Amino acid sequence: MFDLADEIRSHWIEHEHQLDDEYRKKLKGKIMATLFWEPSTRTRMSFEAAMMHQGGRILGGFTAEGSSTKKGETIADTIRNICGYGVSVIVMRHKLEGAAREAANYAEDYGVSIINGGDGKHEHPTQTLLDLYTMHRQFGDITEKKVAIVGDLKYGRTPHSLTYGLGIFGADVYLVSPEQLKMPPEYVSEYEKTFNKQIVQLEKLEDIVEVADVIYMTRIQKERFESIEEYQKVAGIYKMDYNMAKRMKEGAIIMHPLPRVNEIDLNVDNLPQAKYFEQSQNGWFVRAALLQDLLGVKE
Amino acid sequence: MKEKPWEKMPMIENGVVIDHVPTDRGPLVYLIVLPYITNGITANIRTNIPSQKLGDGKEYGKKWVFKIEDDIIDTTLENKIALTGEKEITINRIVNYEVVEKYHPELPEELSSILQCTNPNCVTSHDYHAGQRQRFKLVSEEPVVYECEYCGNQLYQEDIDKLLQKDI
Ligand SMILES: [Zn+2]
Repeated sequence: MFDLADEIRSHWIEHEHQLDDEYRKKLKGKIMATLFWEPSTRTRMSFEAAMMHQGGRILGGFTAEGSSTKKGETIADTIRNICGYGVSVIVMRHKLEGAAREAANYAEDYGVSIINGGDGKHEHPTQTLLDLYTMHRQFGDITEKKVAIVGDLKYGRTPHSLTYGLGIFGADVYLVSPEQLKMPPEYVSEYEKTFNKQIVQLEKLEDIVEVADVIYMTRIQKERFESIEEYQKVAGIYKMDYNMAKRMKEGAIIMHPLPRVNEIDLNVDNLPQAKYFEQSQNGWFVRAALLQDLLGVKE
Repeated sequence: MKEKPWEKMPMIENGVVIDHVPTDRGPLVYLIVLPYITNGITANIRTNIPSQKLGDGKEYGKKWVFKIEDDIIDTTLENKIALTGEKEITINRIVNYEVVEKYHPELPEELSSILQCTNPNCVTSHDYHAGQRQRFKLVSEEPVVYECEYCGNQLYQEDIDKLLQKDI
């Protein structure tokens, strides 16, 4: 899949940010429905771009507000309705955990693929895929590369699945967070048991900045806290600024799933270490590869 | 302290003996068995019987024994007893005063009844259709851990105990 994403990416760059006719035919005649019970403009648009660049079409317009969901329609029924419109693939996001699996139970009968664009705190597999792809682009093989994930590791869905994904690719994981936002122990022990490797947990970004190959910053979300005071205790404790970025070792990179608030200073953006916009753009290359893999006409 | 011969429980002719229930788990097993013996079935339940098997090698342990004059055993009951996580519990089937079968109920690898996901954000707790298709996978026997196949939430013994009681 990474090879396919690479192929699409180079093609795009070599052809002045366009894909030529050959690509525009890849998903011709295919329709992707976007079912976002919970809004996520970025994920949805990235999938839409991936579809449109390859000649596919989008059946959008679904929102939880205007849908039968409000009247108590189950996922099973919504999915069977939409599948009946002749779509090839459904990208969905839902606030309930396991929603994508429930959808897949029914879509299967119609030969329709379900792509999980995030289900509650459970999974967001294409985010992890694009994160790993971004590291793969920088380093090739990421075995034993030191990846530090920084910030809210307790509530954030991204860190949990990224940690597991890094395990699969053999990277070394460092977790940097304050005590109250540490990764739940079950995720740590799952990683350690599955991959037979230890995770190093730290509280200070300074302790890892010079050794890490990747510093993966995340946002600390205000809405996760019970009180403003609790939030203010930890808000802004991790900041990647110009001086900090300069201390990173040769070839090391800074990533962020975006949107950011103030964890990365604007004057870091133009440094070679800053890879977060490339990372976000990689989102559609990876999703394009995924869609082609699921739907493309095989020669 | 050993059980005195005159304290022995009466034998049953046809039915089931559930034996070696550790004393602290007796009340839970009682709640599990109760719905099965409410229909005029004769049952003899004795608490705090000394048990060598449940002891630590030096001291005797204490057990509960359930003697039920009817073949009440079904898969649900076996599963519920297994879900207590007490591996010593034995089920004896009695025909004509003879033990014809003696076994420890096993934890099912997969389970789509009895358990319910405890994750408040799980799709099975909100979506009517998903709720009817709950499924759990056994991920560990000691301690007992079941995992919701939808959201990945894991149920531990204390969650399972609550569900075993709630069902009654
Ligand atoms: Zn669940």
